[in-house]
Amino acid sequence: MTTADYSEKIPNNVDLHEDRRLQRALESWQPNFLNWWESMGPTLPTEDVYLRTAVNVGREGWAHFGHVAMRDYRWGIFLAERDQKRTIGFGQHKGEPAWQQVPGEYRADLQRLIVIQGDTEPASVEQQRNLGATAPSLYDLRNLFQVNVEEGRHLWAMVYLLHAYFGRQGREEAEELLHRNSGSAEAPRILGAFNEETPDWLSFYMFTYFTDRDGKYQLGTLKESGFDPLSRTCEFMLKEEAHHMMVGTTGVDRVVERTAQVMVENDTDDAAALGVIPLPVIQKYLNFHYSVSLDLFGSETSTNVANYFTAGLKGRWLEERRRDDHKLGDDSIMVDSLTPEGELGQTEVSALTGLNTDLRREYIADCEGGVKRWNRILADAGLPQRVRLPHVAFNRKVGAFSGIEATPEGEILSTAEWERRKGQWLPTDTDKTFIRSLMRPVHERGKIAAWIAPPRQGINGKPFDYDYVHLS
Amino acid sequence: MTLHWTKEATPRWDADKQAVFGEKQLASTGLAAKPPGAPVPDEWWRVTDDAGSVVGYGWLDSEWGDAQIAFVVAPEKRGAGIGAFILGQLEREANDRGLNYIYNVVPKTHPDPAWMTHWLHLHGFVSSPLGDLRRQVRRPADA
Repeated sequence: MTTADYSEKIPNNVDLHEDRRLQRALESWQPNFLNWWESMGPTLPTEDVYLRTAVNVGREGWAHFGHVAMRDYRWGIFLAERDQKRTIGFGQHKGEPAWQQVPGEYRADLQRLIVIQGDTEPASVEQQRNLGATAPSLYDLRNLFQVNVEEGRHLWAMVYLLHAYFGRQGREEAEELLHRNSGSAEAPRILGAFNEETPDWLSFYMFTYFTDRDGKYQLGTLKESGFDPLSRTCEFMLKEEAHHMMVGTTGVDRVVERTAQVMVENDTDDAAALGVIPLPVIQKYLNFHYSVSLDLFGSETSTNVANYFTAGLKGRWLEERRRDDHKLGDDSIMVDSLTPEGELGQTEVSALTGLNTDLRREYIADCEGGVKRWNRILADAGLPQRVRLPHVAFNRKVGAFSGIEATPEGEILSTAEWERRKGQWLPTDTDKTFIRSLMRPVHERGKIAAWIAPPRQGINGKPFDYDYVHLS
Repeated sequence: MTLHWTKEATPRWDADKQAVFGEKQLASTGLAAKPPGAPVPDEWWRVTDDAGSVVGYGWLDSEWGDAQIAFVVAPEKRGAGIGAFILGQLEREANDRGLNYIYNVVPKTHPDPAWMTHWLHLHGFVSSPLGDLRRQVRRPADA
């Protein structure tokens, strides 16, 4: 079944009506979700928003667009189509039929992976809840809300798996997903980076480019899972995530484009005086979001990740394209490390234990794509300045380089030197205050804030000046 | 006795680890002995006393999200508060990494899982539905 059943209280393509017990359990969770959305979701009051709603998981025409009151958004449960012949693609169970039920020996590990993934989804909604008040245009406001409702739907996706396959423990964990809150002292979200408020739109674009991209790679590894319902869930989530990536990529594009335009028009590097974001400040925000996102991949080596791979729970990015035995028992990988002399170096470890590094490298290569785009915009404007990704040792709190300080070029610094110079590379209070000063709402149709260029195209073929959001 | 906490830049199954990890310690932690000199995954710290002798190890396995912690105390040094010292240091390391939760899994091979579970409960860990024991990382002001 690929088409969503919207006649049900919970839209789904998993034949929920055939399992009354599960249906009742999810319907009893639904009011809790809506209460969470009301109390922790977007704060800007709206009448309706031009939103995409999933209606089909097939290749073509999978979404419907229309104005929807956000509280009435049809959050549903959608899994990609089942491949009856799918086999496990890696690890010790390689070649066996994909599991349709949770294998008992992997129950705890699978539940942990699903809970962690599920915890990030509502977290970002909570982090971004106040951003609507300073949206630079109705187009951007609409994109923010689209990201928010789809992160909410991704929470539904994980909650469905917990309810359907993990019994009472799964239901308890589903409740906890609403109990933990971003930034809460008593019950914070699991990942550190998901506990900081997204304070401004430059941070939002950087977050959706760098941190959501980390989520994309984690989803990509779970899409390979031998547990087929998890794989199919993540496959469809990745389709929705593509829009979130687009919001980040084009958001930074438009910030860079506007800054370049103003710099050229006025023949000056002093962009701040002209009300746009200076390139060095953009670079500092990039440095921050990229480096904290690198930390989300964990330490260079991990016993747990090796075990997940061997068990067939979590694969590699694009596992089927890898040209090896997909078991990695005898393979090795060079991972970052410090030499005994305290210099940056590499050391050889088993490929299995180095899987965090493997995934982080795939992510880094992808991030380079954004930098190339932004530098092309600068080059096309005739400017010599360029942005770049900082060295992997820069501003790291996790892994081999957590105990040292390094410049964006990878030069090791003393702690005192780092403290003295870090304001050159990371946003300072002055930078943040300046960015906040630009964050004035532009909620008029067809208008846009002066610090960002309009998009090249609107949503679903609509023009930029379309009435994407009706405010209350 | 002052205890010293030192991060291992490239953890290996060296002579000190071979000395601390007897059969019982391996069973307690669920680790398998490795060939001498082989790399050891995860982040490791060694604990030394004033004489420079290794009296224990702590290690932390962080991946997408939270972190599993584990530790071992040299058999002849048990009962001297070294376990609590290592736990405090691991929690500080987790805090420095922006991690909000740490957990430990008592392996099925542990010779006395009830004692280990009780010890972790005494140190604020709560048994979770996942079968592990977890605790929210206390910030320095809370600790």
